[in-house]
Amino acid sequence: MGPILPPQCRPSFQATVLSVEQALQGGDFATAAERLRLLPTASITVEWDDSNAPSAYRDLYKKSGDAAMAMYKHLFPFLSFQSAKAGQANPDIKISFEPVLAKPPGSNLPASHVGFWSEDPAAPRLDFVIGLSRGAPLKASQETDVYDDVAYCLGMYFGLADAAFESSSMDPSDLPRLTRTGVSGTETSAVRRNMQVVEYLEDAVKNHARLLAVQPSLFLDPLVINSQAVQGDQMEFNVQLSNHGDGPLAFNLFPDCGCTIVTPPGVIQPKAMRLVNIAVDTAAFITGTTKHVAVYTNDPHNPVSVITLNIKIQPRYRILVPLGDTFNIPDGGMKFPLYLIPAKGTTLDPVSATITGPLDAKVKFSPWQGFLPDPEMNEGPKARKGFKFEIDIRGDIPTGRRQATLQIFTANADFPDIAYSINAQKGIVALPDNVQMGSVGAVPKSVRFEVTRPGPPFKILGITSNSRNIEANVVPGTGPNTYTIEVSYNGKAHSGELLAAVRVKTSDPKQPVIDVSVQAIVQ
Amino acid sequence: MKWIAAAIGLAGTMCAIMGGFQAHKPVEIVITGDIDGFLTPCGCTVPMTGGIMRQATLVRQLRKSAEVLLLCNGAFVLGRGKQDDLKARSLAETLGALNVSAINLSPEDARRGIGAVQEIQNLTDNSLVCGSIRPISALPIRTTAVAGPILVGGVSAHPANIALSMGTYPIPEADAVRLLLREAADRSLMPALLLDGSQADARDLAERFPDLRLIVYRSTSDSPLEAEKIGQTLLVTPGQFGKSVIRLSVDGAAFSGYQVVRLNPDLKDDPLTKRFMADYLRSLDASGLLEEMVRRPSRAFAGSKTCGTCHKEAFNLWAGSKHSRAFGSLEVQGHAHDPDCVRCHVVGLDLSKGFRSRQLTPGLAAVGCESCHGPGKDHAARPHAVRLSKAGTEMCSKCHTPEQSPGFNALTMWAVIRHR
Repeated sequence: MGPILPPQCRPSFQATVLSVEQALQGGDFATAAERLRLLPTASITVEWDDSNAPSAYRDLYKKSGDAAMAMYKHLFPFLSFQSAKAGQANPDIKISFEPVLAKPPGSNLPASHVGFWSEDPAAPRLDFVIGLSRGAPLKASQETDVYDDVAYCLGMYFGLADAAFESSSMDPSDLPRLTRTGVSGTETSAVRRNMQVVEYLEDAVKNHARLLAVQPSLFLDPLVINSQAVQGDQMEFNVQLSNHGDGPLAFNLFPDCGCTIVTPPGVIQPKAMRLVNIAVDTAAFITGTTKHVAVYTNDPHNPVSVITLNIKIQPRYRILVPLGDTFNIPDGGMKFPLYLIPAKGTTLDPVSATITGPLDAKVKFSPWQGFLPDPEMNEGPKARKGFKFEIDIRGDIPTGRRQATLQIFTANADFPDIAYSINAQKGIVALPDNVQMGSVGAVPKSVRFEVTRPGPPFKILGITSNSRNIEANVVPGTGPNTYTIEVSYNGKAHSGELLAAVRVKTSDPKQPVIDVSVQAIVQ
Repeated sequence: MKWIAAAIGLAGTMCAIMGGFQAHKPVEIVITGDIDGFLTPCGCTVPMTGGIMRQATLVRQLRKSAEVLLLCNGAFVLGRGKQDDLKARSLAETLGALNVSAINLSPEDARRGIGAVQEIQNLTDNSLVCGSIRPISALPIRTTAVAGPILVGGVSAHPANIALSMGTYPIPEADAVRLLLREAADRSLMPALLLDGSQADARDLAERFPDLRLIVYRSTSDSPLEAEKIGQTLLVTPGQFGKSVIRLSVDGAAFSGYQVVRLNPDLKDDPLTKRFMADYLRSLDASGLLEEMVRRPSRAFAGSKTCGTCHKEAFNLWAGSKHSRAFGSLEVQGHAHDPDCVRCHVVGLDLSKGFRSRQLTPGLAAVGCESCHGPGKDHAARPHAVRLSKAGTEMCSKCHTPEQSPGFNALTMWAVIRHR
């Protein structure tokens, strides 16, 4: 039997290997030697024909092509590239350019490149044509486009099939490229293995060895998996890979996300079946996610298949605050409830709870059940069961806006503590409490902030600024609980950082002034 | 009169050609969103993708050869802490400097309060759009924005969330979409929707409102390589954590050229955005967030050197590992005061006796023995009376999460750090 081909092996490469093996099997060594010449070689002659390219682009394109070849040479030091002269009888690869290539079937974009194989000894083995324009609307091909096309061309020559995901050199997309893409680990292994196969066949032809010509055939089930999980579950799925052919089936699974772990590469013997494992860590997701796993094999008819995993994910717990996240604390203080609702089947019993941060507050909790909505999950009021936390904020907190954290310690080892931020506001506050203007130039610019107190109305008696470049005024029609203040920059500051302070005088004797800093970067 | 009639005739013909929309020269659209606080690519493995500095570079690069409109589907950050505010500010500055055309107001951004929303408006030249809430007098937010040949609307599938945070009333999703479509028809613009909702919500809207031409939805998955189309409505998502953006072309008649652009390291950092990031890091340093960390009560730590006096072999293995230099790597990158980063680069940041600073707790300024085995001072004092638990690969996943260590294989790496 001949050598096992690697996953992500191009069907055309496999067909040629099979033809060599068939000739060897039949003892036709002359034909085997003839077919062997069609396989890639480590010493490659490349004809670069840029006669159709605009003269302004030729140098750029040539450098891009050379850079792609240098990248291949770097990855595979055993390769050598020689330039073939124009019209030389039989270069291994000919790269040329045409204005616009035809659209592939079913695509609304012109092809970015196209490769033609030839078995004519007088013609290049691979005639690779790059479009001078691409995309919709059409644009001139750029340096990165040509680099990626030449890298694709080399992958094609060395027997690589198209990739399932982007970000590798065998991404078959016809869209303009913005960055150079590299050869992935799977592709690197496949090129090395393909070249080992070629060497093996060379020896077999030389030694008149008889090989059995065989081919694997993949059966993969299922291609789509729909599942449900509770956040944090390690979901495991089994997929059946069967080999219905008569040659060993090599496979390599490749996920599109770091949350997915797959069975390492392997080989399935003819007529055998294997369950491969795909594990998804759902900790980072709530509501749902879709992940993909590419299955690369050496089945010439199915070099790449993609398994889709659709997982609906229920959050492990919800914290529901019917009154919202920001609380306006009156003089006497206030109490408000907050609910911890574990998902069904999750034990999340609180052991203790505390409030940390600049608030004088106490918290107590008790088991609870009742009806509550969960707007974030688009759920109206429904029966829920969990724990009620009653937070008691005392009224003598300083004026302004404070943030504190409710910490809930639980007996659940996976969620030992749960933190929730609480915003408490008392008196008159400026929102935001410092004003960023961002980048400003030599033209005037205005931004706004609010001065607000949800309780009793108040008046603004005046506004001053400590900078000659910054002025602030109340926007007419606003008040008496919330005033909008417009801060105007006159466009006359020197470049560098602009720091100013706006002082708002109020009618409240407890808070006669509110200071707000204003910052900008003057370009 | 003939001239006027001819002009009207021509305009009518053009409208017919462009499917009832205003003719427009082709423009490029870049769609971002759900950055979720991931301003820079974070992690222990390379190459990491994402980051607003690369995003800015991409937009500026594209603008060299075409008119580029930038749309953002919101969710600057997920939390409501001080660090979230600083992150959101940097992102708003970046988007403002890139002349963003529209930003959808998401519930996450609204939850940070009216001041935070005002700050986004200030820094992005009032680019927020939201058709899901009744107007607020203190803070006007547009329901739509014109971007080239399209009319962009912002709608939430959870309007009550935004309304609650902004102190107003919600507008049902369907009503908000109808208003967008009506305005688009009146102005002969292509209606595009920035949707705070899932793929299922987007599909539902595409079927109910076939006149929508584009829906940008939110997803916790990566962007699909091929755009989904329902009727004439294109459904796209930039994915999560700002790892990629969507690129489209539009000519006033149709969207084309769908492309997912991964923000990989070949995109160099944009100099102006780098400056915003430097400001962000300076603000973090000044904010003292590490000191304000919420901490759980804990036993005392000993420090890895103390452990090494008995466990010499394990200590030597650790001392030669990247774990022993974990905090130093943050100091080099200027993130030594960033709680998001520091928690995975030191011992016990969230514990009362854990890391404070390199000066105060030098023995804890690394991922040390006690990161996995727990506080060990008692064990060091009475080794046989107080035993520490053994640790396994489950400890790795506390920091080597999918987003911070994509492709991390606990079994392979366990073989590297395994010790007795």
